[in-house]
Amino acid sequence: MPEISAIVATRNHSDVLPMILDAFRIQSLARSQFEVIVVDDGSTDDTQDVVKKFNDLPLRVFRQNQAGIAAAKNLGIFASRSPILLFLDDDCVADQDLLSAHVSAHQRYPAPSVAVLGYTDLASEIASDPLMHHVTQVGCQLFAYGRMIPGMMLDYTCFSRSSCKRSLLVEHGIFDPNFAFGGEDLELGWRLKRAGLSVVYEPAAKSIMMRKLTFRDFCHRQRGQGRAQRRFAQLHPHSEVRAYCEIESGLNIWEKYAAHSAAYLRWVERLDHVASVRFAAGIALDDRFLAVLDKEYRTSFTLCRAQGIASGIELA
Amino acid sequence: MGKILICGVYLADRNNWAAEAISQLSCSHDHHVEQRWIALDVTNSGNNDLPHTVHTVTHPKPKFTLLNDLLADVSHFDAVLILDDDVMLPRRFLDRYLRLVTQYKFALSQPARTRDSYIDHNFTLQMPGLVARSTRFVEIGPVFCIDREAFEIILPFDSRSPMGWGLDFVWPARIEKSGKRMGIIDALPVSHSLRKPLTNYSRDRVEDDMNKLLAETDHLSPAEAFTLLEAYA
Repeated sequence: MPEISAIVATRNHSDVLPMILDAFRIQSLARSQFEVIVVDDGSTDDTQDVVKKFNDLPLRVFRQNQAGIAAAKNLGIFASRSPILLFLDDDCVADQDLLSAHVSAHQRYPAPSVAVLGYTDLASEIASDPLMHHVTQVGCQLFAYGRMIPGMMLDYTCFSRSSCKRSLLVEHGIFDPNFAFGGEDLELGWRLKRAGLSVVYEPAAKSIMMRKLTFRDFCHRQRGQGRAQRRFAQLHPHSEVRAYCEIESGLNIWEKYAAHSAAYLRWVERLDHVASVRFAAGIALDDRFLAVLDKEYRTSFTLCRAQGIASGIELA
Repeated sequence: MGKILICGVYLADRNNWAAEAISQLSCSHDHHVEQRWIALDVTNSGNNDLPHTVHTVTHPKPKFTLLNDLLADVSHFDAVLILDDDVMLPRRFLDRYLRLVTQYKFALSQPARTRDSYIDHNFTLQMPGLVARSTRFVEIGPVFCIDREAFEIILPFDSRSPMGWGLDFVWPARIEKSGKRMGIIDALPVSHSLRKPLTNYSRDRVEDDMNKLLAETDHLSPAEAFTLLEAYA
């Protein structure tokens, strides 16, 4: 039986999938000790053809009709044969020690309720991009590792991009398929709190995000996050959840600025375009411009998240 | 056209959905259906005269003991569907369900549960991207189906666990040993939301029975059992 199952839920990312799967060919952990489970969430591209080229790996592929990330991850959980499960995003490439570092961390923390948060770095080609730099180092809307130290115990809000014991999920809760476009790990983490979930930070378990997000991508992502947070707060009407999700402030922001949001976001997108062009041309951005850019990025993403909160689907 | 036996026990003195299920299951286009229901009416004051009620029991008696009584001549049938009295079935359930069970060659099967259901095992929750999955687990209720090719493997129900607990960890060991398949139909989930389980019998007694059964019988662990083998979209 393998020690760890890496679960990759994917949809229409056949362009990056070869890079992701290729990284499992050079893992320091022996192939007999892991398996890779790809769950294809109803892709319409050539994902199924791409995965066939990796039959040298301990790889199993499952296909479902499009049902979203949460349903795909659930399929991966139940298809897995290992006591440890690692959820890997389909735009992240494993460092060669990723799997062994997760296994080692779980050996150090064998309690069923302890999950392990690894470290996600940006690929060197995109790390200095103004937008990617902002969302990982300044605004930290994407990753927020700044205040974490190795071995630090974290709460349920850090359950995403983590590994955990299969038994924790099978016995205490799986992802809610209603969270089809994100937020599923936050919601499950909250439920697993009752089972004593804690998350330990292990930066040696490293993966690398390959995909550069555009300004529009990130706005879209923030709207989705806002909708998911609204749903999360509706499902679990607890003051802690509502405070974490900033529902009230989101609703207030959107009510105040909705009328001007489209024009404002167009303006910031132009600003981002200027920054991107200069970055691509190797022209350094001066500090004053960067300060303005960071401020407007932050405001834009707050606004988009507020829009998502305001448009969050009411539960039946 | 197959001969299908449908068996169930309803709590006559409790709110139940048996009448709706009985009515719906009577309307098969594809099969000849025979229904046999037992009314459990320990207060002797319930509504115990639903159609197809073959017997009324007025003293508490375990469900699987009662079911064994109904299944004495099971060899005359092609499949048996066992159901509880607290499930809401999807429209035209029986014909659609049996078509899928035949298509995927499941000797033992169950429909998934809707998300609003009371559940004991997350594994049985509907997986919305799938039509069906081949599994190592089929639960003892609220609805399950035995094809005739599994009658000798599953029936009669093991009397050491008269409420059925633990049988669902013994069944996969037997089914797999015989080279047969079991699975869950996700396309036709049932709602099991009327009342919480365990309101009608003692948990301690039932757990003791289960532990004895598992100690004496070849079975899968929960970690082994809650495993999906193949997914069908």
